[in-house]
Amino acid sequence: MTHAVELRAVHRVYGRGDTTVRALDGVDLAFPSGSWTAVMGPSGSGKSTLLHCAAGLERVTSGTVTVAGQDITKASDADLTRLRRTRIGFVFQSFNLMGALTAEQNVALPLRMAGARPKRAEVREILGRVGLGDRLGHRPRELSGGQQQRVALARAMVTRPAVLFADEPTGALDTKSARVVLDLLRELVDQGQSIVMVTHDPSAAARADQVVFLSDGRIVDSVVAPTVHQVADRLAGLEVA
Amino acid sequence: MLRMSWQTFRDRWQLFAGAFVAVALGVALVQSSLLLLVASVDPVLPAGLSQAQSDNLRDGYEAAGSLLGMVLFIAGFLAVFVVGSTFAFTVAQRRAELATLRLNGGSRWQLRRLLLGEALILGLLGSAAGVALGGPVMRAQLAVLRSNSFVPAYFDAPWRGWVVWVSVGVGVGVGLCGVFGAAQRAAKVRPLEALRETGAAGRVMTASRWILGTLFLGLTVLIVAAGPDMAAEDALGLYLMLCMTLAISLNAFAPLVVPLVGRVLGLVVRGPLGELAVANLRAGVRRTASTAAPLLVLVSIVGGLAGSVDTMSAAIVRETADTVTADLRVDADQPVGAALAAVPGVTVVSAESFVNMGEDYPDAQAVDPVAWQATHRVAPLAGDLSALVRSTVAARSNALPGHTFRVGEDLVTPNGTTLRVVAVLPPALSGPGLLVPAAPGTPGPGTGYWLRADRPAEVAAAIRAAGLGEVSTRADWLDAFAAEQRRNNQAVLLALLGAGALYAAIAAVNAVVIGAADRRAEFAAARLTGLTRPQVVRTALVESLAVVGIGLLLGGMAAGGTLYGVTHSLAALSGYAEAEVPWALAGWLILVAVVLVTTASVASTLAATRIPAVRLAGSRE
Repeated sequence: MTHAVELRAVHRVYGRGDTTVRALDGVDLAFPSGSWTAVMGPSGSGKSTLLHCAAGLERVTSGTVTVAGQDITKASDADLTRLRRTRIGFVFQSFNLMGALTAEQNVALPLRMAGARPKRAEVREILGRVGLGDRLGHRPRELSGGQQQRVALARAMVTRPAVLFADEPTGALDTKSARVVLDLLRELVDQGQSIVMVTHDPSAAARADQVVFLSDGRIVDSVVAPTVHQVADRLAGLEVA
Repeated sequence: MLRMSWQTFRDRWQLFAGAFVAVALGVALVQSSLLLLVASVDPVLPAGLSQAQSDNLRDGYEAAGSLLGMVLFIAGFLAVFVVGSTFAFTVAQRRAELATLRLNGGSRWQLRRLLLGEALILGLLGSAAGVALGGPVMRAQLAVLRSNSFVPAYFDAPWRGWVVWVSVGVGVGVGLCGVFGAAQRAAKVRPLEALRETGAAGRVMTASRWILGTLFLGLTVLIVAAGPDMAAEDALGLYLMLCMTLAISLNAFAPLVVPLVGRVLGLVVRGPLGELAVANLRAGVRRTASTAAPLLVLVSIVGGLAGSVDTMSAAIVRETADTVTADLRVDADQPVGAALAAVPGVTVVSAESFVNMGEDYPDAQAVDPVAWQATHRVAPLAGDLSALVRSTVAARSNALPGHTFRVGEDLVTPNGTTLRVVAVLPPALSGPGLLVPAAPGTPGPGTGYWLRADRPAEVAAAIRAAGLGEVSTRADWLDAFAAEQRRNNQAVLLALLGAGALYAAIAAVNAVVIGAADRRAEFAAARLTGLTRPQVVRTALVESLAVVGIGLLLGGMAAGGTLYGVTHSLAALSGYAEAEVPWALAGWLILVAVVLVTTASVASTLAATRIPAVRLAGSRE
């Protein structure tokens, strides 16, 4: 089985001397292709750092990171830019849409950045799939939080990335909007999309195919086909310990 | 990418409004100054003027020309400055958005292109408005030039088609120059910054600030060192350069000063509001520094230049007073040297007649060495003035910048004449650089005479009675000379101030407004913690006033540095120089700055806090 993302002996250390923080302390982890993995852990466990390192947004102190078969440990800025254009997509808690652009233009953005002339129909089709076929010309400030996150999701998917990275994608949403977004993610995985998601919400993590638990920069546990209670219990155990 | 530039530009037009006005105004000023300059370089002189009249006219045109050149230069400099600080703002404010572009596959180069595109749009729109504004601005400039009698009332500058292209070029050029630094900074934004709420506070004293500041400080020192070798008529341009290099340098170092001022302010203001203001000031070092920048430039240029020209003319007046020892001065319409010598009581007549030595060469004055020495006090550094006969010359040691005169050397003028140097005179700030002997018997076309007389009052009356010309005593003539110097300076300052003050006002107000708009969420948070709206407004006002203080302080330092440099190089030339500090002007500057910034700060904070706090505390934009 191939892996969408692979981390080998990854360390990430911030600062030096007395103020050294080992955010990642020897992580060996492979995210299987075509499946949805949730990364959980208490605050400060290093889960965001893990996602950033896996996506090439942060450099690792030591170890190797492979994304879609490409070793990105020492990739140049231009290589990483190319990677972001073709192989990976992002969804964040804060949506990160361009305020000046309409929903349609936001979705077309990655294609235009890559120098392609985006096909109108293609962009509309993908916005239609996230249920925003009637919001093409709206700017982010005219959309609700849930709608903005769906635009962000459509934008991440428009390049047909090998891996979708999601950092607390439901963190800023009400339960109803959160469920819509999670349903969309489920739909994508069922069509073969690989997703790596960081969350602290057990009900979101329970929608994934497997959950890995991180504590003090190490992988301490994992669950396949999780339920909300399983996830909540393990997380509570980590927070007490 | 240009389409996206247009969209971001349109979306954030308020941010660019100040920069737009600055570009438009800059283009209008450059266009109108250029048209006037071209017309004044080769003016049409009316027929039938006497030599003196046409010389006078030409001098006026020349002075107008160098003045317009300076306005052109300052307009361009300030426009680039305003545009530059606006773009610096937008990059700081849009870090998250720029990082988002990077997250979505944007390359560094594409981020640069986005900003360059915005600058291009700003430049094009600004030039269009500037070309339209050019007409009224030119009429205003013409009115100033005419009313200060730089040019005669009939002088006008015809429209020239090519100037439109220059204007557009200037507008676009100003935009691109202004955006350059910001585009570099944007290219350094890392994708991860999209996820940080507070943007990258990062290091404020960046390496480029250190380099820029040090570089321009070095340039300033070089200029001061070059000062004494400079011809006096080029000095004003030099001082202008001095103000600008110092302003750029201090602006780069501004973030170092902000915490210091914060500490001083901390000693003065009391209570929680004051503490909050001081904390904000120090937390937003970059914002504080950029808001202070336009004021810094205004104070340094206006204060530095005003002080420089005042110091310069004071030195010239004093030098002239020290040099001239004659009792009376006669200005006549025609040569009256022989008639003056025949007036009873007149002991010495020294005619002042100028000799053109050729293009780009200092004018010489033809003198009778004995009479000249009897009416002027000058001790040669080397050689002897009485040897000034036939093809010889006596030179002020600074007459030819870069040339060291030696007694006995042969000077070949552009006219082709060869003159032997017989005396080297001490350097001078004004007056002729070269003295040549008047050909015996021919009293030259000169119309100015310095006289020694036994009983000056009676002699003056006799000359007046004989209708030989206008007579004044040495003291009266010196007073008139000083008044003329002052008047010229005032005209220069008026023209420069007009442009400069307008820009600084735009930039300062712009900075305050942008700053406040940027801080809605912060203001909202402050109100949720229990501050009333007036308290928020008051806190912001204290901050704004502190920023004014920083701008005035740094600008004052730049102006003071300029003044010191000028005084230093004048002292090297003439042996004495006292700095003339333009206190009245400084007072006005402070008053205007405080009123402007107070108004802008209160208005923009009120606008930013209009919406109830709860709705804004969580908003990101």
